Amino acid sequence: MADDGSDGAVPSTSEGVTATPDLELKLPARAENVAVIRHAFGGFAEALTVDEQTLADIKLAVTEACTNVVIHAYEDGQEGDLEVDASFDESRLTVVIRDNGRGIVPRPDSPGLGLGLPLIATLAESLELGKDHGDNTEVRMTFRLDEERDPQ
Amino acid sequence: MSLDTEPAFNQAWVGVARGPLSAPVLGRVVGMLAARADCPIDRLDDALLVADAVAAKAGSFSDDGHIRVQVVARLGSVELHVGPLSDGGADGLIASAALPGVGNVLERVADELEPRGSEDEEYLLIRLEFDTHRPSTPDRMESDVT
Repeated sequence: MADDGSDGAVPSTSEGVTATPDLELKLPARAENVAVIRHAFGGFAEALTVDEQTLADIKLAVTEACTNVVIHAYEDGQEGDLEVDASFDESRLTVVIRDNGRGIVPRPDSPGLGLGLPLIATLAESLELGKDHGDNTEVRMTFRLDEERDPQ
Repeated sequence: MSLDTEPAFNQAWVGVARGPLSAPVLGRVVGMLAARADCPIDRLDDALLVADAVAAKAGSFSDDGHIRVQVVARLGSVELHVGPLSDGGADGLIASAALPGVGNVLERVADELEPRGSEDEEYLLIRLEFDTHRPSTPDRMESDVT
């Protein structure tokens, strides 16, 4: 059935990150849906022919960011969305994780170890935390796709 | 209770701008939501077939070439709301799923196949129904034999 007018290769943009993301996902912010996003991202990155180590880094960082949304973004019992956008060019993949929860604030009662964001910062080439124009909380991370890696 | 009133217990919105990315992403999302809805393996296979057909063809029937699908999992069914599509896109998408010697994949597999929407936006609803009483998860199979 593969008849989308392409030869199967994923074309890249020359202008970098496009105005419309190459991939958009929106799901209810629940623990079960973190796995859906991770799995979907596996397919996305596979189609980009990303090397295994980079793919593992991307999936881990995206999983951490999505888990943060599920655990921290919304008050207990409050329903909310978890959005993921991804855009790429020849050398970089930009992933934005977005929610409309309470924002990134210190939590003395946090159930986690507080390692999520430092881990993402280590895995990604860049990490930005902020708000979009609609006052949604954003975690924006960039990954190099053309990085030479030590086979070790 | 009719399927129309059965509440959605999970849903996902998927948008893909580039054709080759759509099948690996949409298939995984549909597969996971259907599996979590206790969709039996034969209908899970059908759902993936539908996802592949939509991924392959839907971009040709949207104004900007993007594929947008809302996947809704309910008790006993999985729905794909494909669109917005261009004018006549829903019928075009259905017609494009015809395979020589096989027939129309969407018509054969879906329990409901219905163009929907307003003058401005057209969608195609594809619903697959299934029996949720059959064992489909290891937990359930284990509990069935003990």
